[in-house]
Amino acid sequence: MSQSSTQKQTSLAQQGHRVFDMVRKFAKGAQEIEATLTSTTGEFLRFGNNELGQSQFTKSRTLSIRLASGKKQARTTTGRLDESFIQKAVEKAVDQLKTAPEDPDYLPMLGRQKYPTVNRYHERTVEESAETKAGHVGHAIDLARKNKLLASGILGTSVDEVFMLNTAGLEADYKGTGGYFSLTMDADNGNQTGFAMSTFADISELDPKQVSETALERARLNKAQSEVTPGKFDVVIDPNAWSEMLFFFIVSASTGFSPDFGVRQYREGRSYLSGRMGEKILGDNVTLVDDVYHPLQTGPTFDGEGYPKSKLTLVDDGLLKGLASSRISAHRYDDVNPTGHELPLPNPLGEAPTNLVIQGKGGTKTTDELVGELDKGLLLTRLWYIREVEPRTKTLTGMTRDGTFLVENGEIKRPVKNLRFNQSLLDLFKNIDGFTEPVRNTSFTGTAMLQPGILARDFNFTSVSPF
Amino acid sequence: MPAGYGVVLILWYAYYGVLFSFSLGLVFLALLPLTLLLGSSAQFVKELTPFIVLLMSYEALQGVAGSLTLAPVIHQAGSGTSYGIIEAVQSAFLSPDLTDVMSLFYGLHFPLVIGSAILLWYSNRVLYQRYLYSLVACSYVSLVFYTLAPSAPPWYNGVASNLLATTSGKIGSSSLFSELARIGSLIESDKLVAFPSLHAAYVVLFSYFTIKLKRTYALVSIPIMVGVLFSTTYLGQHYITDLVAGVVGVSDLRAHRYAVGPRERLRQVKLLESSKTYRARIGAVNSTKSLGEELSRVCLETAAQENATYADFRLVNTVSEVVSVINENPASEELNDLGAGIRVLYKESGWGFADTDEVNLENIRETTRKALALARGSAKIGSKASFVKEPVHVDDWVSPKKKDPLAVSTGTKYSLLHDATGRMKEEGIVARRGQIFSTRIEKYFANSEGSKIFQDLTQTGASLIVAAKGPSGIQRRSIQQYVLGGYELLDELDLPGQAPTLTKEALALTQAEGCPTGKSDVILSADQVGLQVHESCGHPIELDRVLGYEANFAGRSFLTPDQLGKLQYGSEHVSIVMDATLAHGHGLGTFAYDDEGVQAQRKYAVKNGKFVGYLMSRGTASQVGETRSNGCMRADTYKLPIIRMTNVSLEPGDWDYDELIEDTPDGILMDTNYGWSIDQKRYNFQFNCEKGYRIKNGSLGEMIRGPGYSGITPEFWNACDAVSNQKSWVLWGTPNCGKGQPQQVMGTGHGAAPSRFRNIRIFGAS
Repeated sequence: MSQSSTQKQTSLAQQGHRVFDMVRKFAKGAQEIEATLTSTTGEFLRFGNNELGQSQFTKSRTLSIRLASGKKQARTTTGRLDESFIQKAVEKAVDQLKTAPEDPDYLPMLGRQKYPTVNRYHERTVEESAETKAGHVGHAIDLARKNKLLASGILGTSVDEVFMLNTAGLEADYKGTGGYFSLTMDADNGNQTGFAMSTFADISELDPKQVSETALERARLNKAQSEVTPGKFDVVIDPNAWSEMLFFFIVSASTGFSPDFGVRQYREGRSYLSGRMGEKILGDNVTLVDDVYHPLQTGPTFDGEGYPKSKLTLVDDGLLKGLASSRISAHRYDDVNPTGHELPLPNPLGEAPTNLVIQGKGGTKTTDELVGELDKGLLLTRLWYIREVEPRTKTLTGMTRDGTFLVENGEIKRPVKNLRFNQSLLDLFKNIDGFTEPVRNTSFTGTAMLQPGILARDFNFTSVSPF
Repeated sequence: MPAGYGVVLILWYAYYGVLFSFSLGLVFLALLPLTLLLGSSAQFVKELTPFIVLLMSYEALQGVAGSLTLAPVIHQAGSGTSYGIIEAVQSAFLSPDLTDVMSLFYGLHFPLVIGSAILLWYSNRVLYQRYLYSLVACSYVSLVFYTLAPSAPPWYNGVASNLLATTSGKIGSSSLFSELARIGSLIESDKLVAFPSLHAAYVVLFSYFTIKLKRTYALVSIPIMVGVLFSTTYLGQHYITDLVAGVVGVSDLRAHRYAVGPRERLRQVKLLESSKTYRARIGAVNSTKSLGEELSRVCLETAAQENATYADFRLVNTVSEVVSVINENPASEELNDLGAGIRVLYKESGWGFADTDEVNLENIRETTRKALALARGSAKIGSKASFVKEPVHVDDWVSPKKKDPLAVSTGTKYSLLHDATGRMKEEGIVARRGQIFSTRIEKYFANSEGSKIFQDLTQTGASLIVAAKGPSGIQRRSIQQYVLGGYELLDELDLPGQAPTLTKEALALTQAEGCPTGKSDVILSADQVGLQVHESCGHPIELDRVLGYEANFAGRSFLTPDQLGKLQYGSEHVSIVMDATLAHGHGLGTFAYDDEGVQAQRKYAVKNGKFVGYLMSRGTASQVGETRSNGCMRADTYKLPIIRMTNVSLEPGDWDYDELIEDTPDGILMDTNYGWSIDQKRYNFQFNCEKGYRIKNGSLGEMIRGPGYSGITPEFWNACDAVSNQKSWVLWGTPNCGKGQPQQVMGTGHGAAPSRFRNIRIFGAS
């Protein structure tokens, strides 16, 4: 069995046209109609305690309909594509349209666009059999057993498809594959533990043995930890360690977890960046771009209303230079051009970068090479449960887990107990001395990010855990 | 029910005078207490009962048909094709050896039933049950015929020779065939019960079910079936019409459900789905239930055919609406998500799960097979699944609500939010955000043990956030609440009434002093205590993470099984319950049954400070010596159920809130959560709140911004010296708890009252 065995013969586009015709038939009274059909199938082999106990196959399709009349808009989404359900969803939207307030930012729907082609669909990822994938998991479990450890984790693959069209003639589609292998090996109720992860778009990029061996090596090293006194440490952060932390670059809790790098929130004063354009917010050696066309990036090349995404520099050599924008912002503000970063409409939150690439200057090294450059400090292999403490400085708190190592003279000396940090993300990015090649994050945070590992000075640890 | 049935049958036996004649049914009935004495399980008794009912019901035919005074239908010799066929068969094939063989076949029909039932019982319990129910149903349908229209066999009035009698006459000879035939004849029914033929019905059911069990069994069962059918005619026991009626009776009972090929099934499905009634049913109020019933049969049947040890099926229909206003911009979305999740256990060692949003019979069958394929793969790697028992539940449950939130128009919700956010418009305010969440979850659950549960849950939530910008950066004030209930929540919350206060406080916070760093006595607001319970008690008592199944993502727990009943988790003032029952309140963790069909329960996690219990599932409970799950398996829509918090609540103490403040000479009050973080074993935590107040000499002093505190879980809860009473206890809803891979989001409930903690590490967050 593989994921492909349930793929439909008809393409999503064919299905999309069929569905759109139905929507048009039922949406009486709506001046404009937009329909977005998405499909996700995934196969996840989830294991824990050396048992492959939570294998899951999942399949879902949704149709999201936006209707507009005058300046009023409504959106309904349904998971059923039978005519009767589509009718119900459209009727609900028509109903909402009657009582919805006018949206001051409403713009007529976008017409036909041209999109650069990207190839993100890898047949191999879809065709890989569950047996083969279970073999990778089995190998990890065997390795753990031999070393008296317990393997836990997940090997998942997925196919995402989007097809969007509207009454102004727009048609946009996307099809892409992805996956990840995340592995923990531990013993003694997690007092001894090691973690490794690898992400891929094409499963032939995955080297499962390497993931297993990295987790094993770290677990072997990480036992009988000693305590270090909390305080400022130079650190090496593994590229796969910190997706959740980097997510806070673009999202703030202060306004209820809303995105920050957009023109609308910036100008309304809702963003932590408001009023700081041109300011140095990160170090000279850091550039932050949003680039959906990067070969390692994933996701569609159009935004929530079908506008083509353009490559955008947000922070250039540490200076805040650009913001994600949209047709709405271009309409609202004379000096703004759309960049294709709208969320599905109606969108009161504002624009969001969706394909961040963190670029470091000065060449790239491996994590081991960065460790080699560390005189005294800590190697962090995984950061966990990160939350915003203060939005303006982007002070975040979180914990280390699954392997924190004291490094002296470029060598790992011994494992240490887990530490809590309270660290400004902006300050951290002013103290970076070295970068690794970027890796894809897991899309766990909803943003496809290419993130490097780093060597940085003065990372602020505030307390220690008992393990 | 089966017991009452048994009593009725015994009375029936007695009335018709067959009570003390030889009876296999009675023998088995007599053996029943023996199985209990021998220590056999209740499950065995439960599964044996329909079998005994079958034997007794069949035997009851002897008495009743023979004792009725109605005139039997007696066919005249020489009339009709039926007669012609029998005569032709008897004259063409007549030979003493064939008579012996045919008598054996004839006598086989009931031993076959017993033998095949035992085979099915060993191989596939679901098929076993279906088989017996079909047999019982056949017998009773026939009984109705016999009672209303007793019908005589062909030999009765000389239409044909009774060749069976010739064999019976030879009883005593040493022929093996005739010996076996004699045993068969012991359970022969009354002579006036020829139409419809139970010989035909039983033997068709026998071959249908044995072939269903394993296709190669057809090599044996089809010849037997043909033999028995032929024997009834050859021996002059049945007219062809009797046989046809018997077979048709069976087909009628089974065929439309189980006895058609895949192509025919697909045609029927398409026909069904295109029919108006089907569509109407989907649109009808109870469609999730009736669709669930229909689909679950296919799923459980498929799982049984492929030898799953256990299977469960869930059909979940979720309708949710979010209405938002952020600054001047409105947005609304209604989402309808229908899908099925199928979980199977293979060879008691491998679990597989598959879900789908294409809920038709064909795809459910395919999805069941997907789950089975994954389960077989898992079984190879081998898990130690042990599944504790749960009574079978057949129930419908609708959660209480006063006003259906989805029936309230989107326009009304917009007006309310515009009113509330409009009142927050002030100089210095940069963000105003109001949201109303309405959700209805209908879920149908059925498992291979016979549970059938329909639940209809309504949840409502609302939040209001205001952010101000000033000298100390951005400061936020908010309120939020989520309940199992209806739109009445919005009346209670009074968002527009609260908006001006929140706005004033947010602006004041931008001018307020920061929180000092050091150690202090701390009083936490009820919502913050609720979140503290969630993070530092709720998560570490999830038994799956304790056992290591979540080590890669959610993490492990410091509350290991060796600590159970021993660890002083908190002070004597700390009692924490896990309570999913409605009696606890209208929480996001309130339901009647969890997502593996276990009834909602109330259990202590911490009793007077001592750690005493876990959140469990049927697959994990035995690992801490429990014989029943406390019902904590929950799934985000139709995804895979995992162990989740229900309502994990701190029990109220006996302090009036005002007294608690008065009793505190020096401290900080912290109110409304802003940030939260805790390590993967749930020891080291840090929280910060939106606003605080200094407490000086028993009264609240000036407001402070960004108060935060941190600690180590057991030290912190042992520092708790006072919990406020019921008057200030609130059951809070947490709508966004994340767990699992791929991640699932779940709502949980946390009852809490303001509480005091001594000598806690505090800091200023902003």
